[in-house]
Formats: sequence, C-alpha cells, structure tokens
Amino acid sequence: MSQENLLLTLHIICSGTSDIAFSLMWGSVLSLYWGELPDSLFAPLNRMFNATAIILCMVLPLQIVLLTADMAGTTHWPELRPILPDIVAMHAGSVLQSQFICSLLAAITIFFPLKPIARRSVLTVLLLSLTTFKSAAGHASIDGSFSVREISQWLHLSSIATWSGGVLIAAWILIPRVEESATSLSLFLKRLSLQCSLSVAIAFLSGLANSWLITEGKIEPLRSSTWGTLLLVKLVAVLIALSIGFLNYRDLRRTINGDTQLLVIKRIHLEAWIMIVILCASGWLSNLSPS
Amino acid sequence: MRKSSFLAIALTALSVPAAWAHAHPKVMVPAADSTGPAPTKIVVTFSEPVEAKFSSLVLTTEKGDPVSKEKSSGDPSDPKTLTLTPPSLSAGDYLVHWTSVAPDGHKMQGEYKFTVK
Repeated sequence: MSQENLLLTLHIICSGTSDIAFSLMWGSVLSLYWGELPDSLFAPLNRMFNATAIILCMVLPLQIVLLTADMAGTTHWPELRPILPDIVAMHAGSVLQSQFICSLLAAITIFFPLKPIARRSVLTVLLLSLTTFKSAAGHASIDGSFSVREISQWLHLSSIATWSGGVLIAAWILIPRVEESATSLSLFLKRLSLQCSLSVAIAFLSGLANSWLITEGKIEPLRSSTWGTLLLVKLVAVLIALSIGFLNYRDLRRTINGDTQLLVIKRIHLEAWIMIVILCASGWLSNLSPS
Repeated sequence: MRKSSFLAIALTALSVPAAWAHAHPKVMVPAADSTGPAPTKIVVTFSEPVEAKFSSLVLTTEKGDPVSKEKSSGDPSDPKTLTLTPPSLSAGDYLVHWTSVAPDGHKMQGEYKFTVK
C-alpha cells in the first residue's frame, strides 16, 4: 500500500470512528432529557457518553498526526514532530485541538460526583461546544468563523447526530433495559419517533443548503466524481433508513399491541445497523473532494 | 437542466457529508501559457483562502531546475493570494509549481507554464 493510500485509509477510519462516537454522544445526552427515564438508565447513558469521549480523545490526536503527515509528505515521526506546533496553529489543526479539549473535559466528568441535572447540563454544554468546533472543519471553514456555511453545517451535524444517535442509543441501551415495562417502552418509542422526525426535517433543510453551497448549484460533481458516486450510494442507505423510520412513525401513531411493538423494535435494530453504514460512508466522503 | 440539478441536490440533501475544500488557481499573473516580458512578480490567486505557511509557489525552468531560492509569501489582507518575486528572467519557458493548503488542511498541487520573450 502506498503512503498516500495508507494515510487516506487511516483518515477514513478516524473520521468514521469519530462520526459514530459523536452520534452516540448526542444520543446519550438527548436520552438524559427524557422525562420518564428510569433512574437505572442514568448510569449506562453516562458510561456510554464517557466511553465515546475517551474514543474521541484517542482519535483526534491521531487525526492531528495524520494532518501533519499530509503536510510534510512523510510518515517518518522525527520529521513530523518539529512541524506539529505549526499544524496545531493552522485552522484545521486548531479545530481538531479544540475538539480534543472538549472531549477530554467530557471524558473526565466521570471523576466528578455531580447530581444528575448538573451532570446533564455540563455534558450538554461540552457537546454543543464540540459540535461548534466540528462544524468549523471541512469545506464549511472556507468562509471563516460563524459563516452561513458553518451555521448550516452545525445544524446538519447536530440533526444527523440526533437522528442516528437516537436510533443507536435506543437499540443498544434503552430498549433492552426498558422492555420489562410495556407502557414506558411505548412512550419511549413515540418520543424517539418524534425526535427522529424533527431531526430528519432539520437535516433535510440544512443538507439542502450545504449541498447547494458545496456544489454551487452544479450537478456535475454528483455525476462525474467519486465523491458524487459515493454520495449517491449513501443516499440509498439513507432512503432505506427513512423508510424504516416512516413505517415505525405510522405504526406508533396508533395504540400498539405487543406484536407491533416487537416489530417496531426489530426495525429500530435494523435501522441502527444501517446508521452505522451511513456514518462510515460519511467518514469516507468527508475525506474526498467534490471535484 | 436547472430543474434536474435542483432535484439531484434535493435528493442528496439528507446524505450530504462534509467534504474537503479545494483551493485551485483562479487568477495567475503572468497567465498560464502566456508569452510576454519578464515579470517582476508572480502572483497566484486561488479559488479559496490558503494556509500561507504550507502553501507555496516555486519557479523552475522547463527542465525543472529551480530559478531561485526565494520563497513565496502570503498576503495578510488577501488570504487567497500567494506572491513570488523572481530574479530577472532571461528569455525562455518557465514553470510555476503551486501547492495550496485550504483552511481544512486539504493539500493540492499543480503547475503551469509561461514564456518570457
């Protein structure tokens, strides 16, 4: 494998891991705001948040090193070390460094004995800060800080993370633990459906603005570049996830019986795996140029 | 065409990811493939802002031999522009090798030719 391909592969792995961890953070924090959340679920949700923060603490420094290797054109550490300070001083490096600081603070909250509401507030502030720095990366950064591109990117990242994170946390943490109480589960599924519907609507509008800004209204990048082809493949996965979400939304509007509830849960598990595929594809796409 | 463009973009709105920025030369002085008197400055304006510290212009002869050790510099008032001051150039073909690094860290490289008569 050539050095260029090795770096690209590592970039893609880091971006995919980072996107999945970021979504899980959003899913965990939003679940803490569920009014009927049983006390027994605070601990697993907090553990998931801290675990994903620790993963980000490992991935983000690696991304800084990869960026340095891109700039230096070498993977030889002794040649990379002297230019690391310059990399951290440039926009892309400083954004990664800021994300690392937010993740580190999020990871160490586990050592502070905070009350649930105080902990939830701290985690929310850290997650919003992390999202702000994450939205300042990539193509959105070209117009400077707090530009329309960055605000649109912020809305898109947070709404996609709300959708995917909500589904992942539901499938992996919440549903298996609240299954004993049918009433709680039914309420939770309805809340999840509403949360996902709202986030999909915001993701669609912000995505429309983002894709217009990235492609500058031209269809060519979608047809003639690897970026465009991958984007269309990802679209198929998104459409499948949307269809599953719609079926669940339709069923949950009625009073549901045990069989329907079981079917909804199975669909959420399937949607969770499709979300993983979508997030991995996002990681790959974020390392390509539309032209 | 306009309608199909909108439809394609609308369809991909939900799955749009972040993407690398790509700073490529937009205005070159002297222009690419142009012929004229020896320039006192070589100026390249990119399509997007560049990180001056990691972006550069290097002037070589057509065979690839460096013309000078002078380094290009960025313009603090215009982050899209790089300038290189060459020594006095004799008649012949020259290549400008450009490297751009966008604010998101995406690096691009290329070259273009101009002729001094």
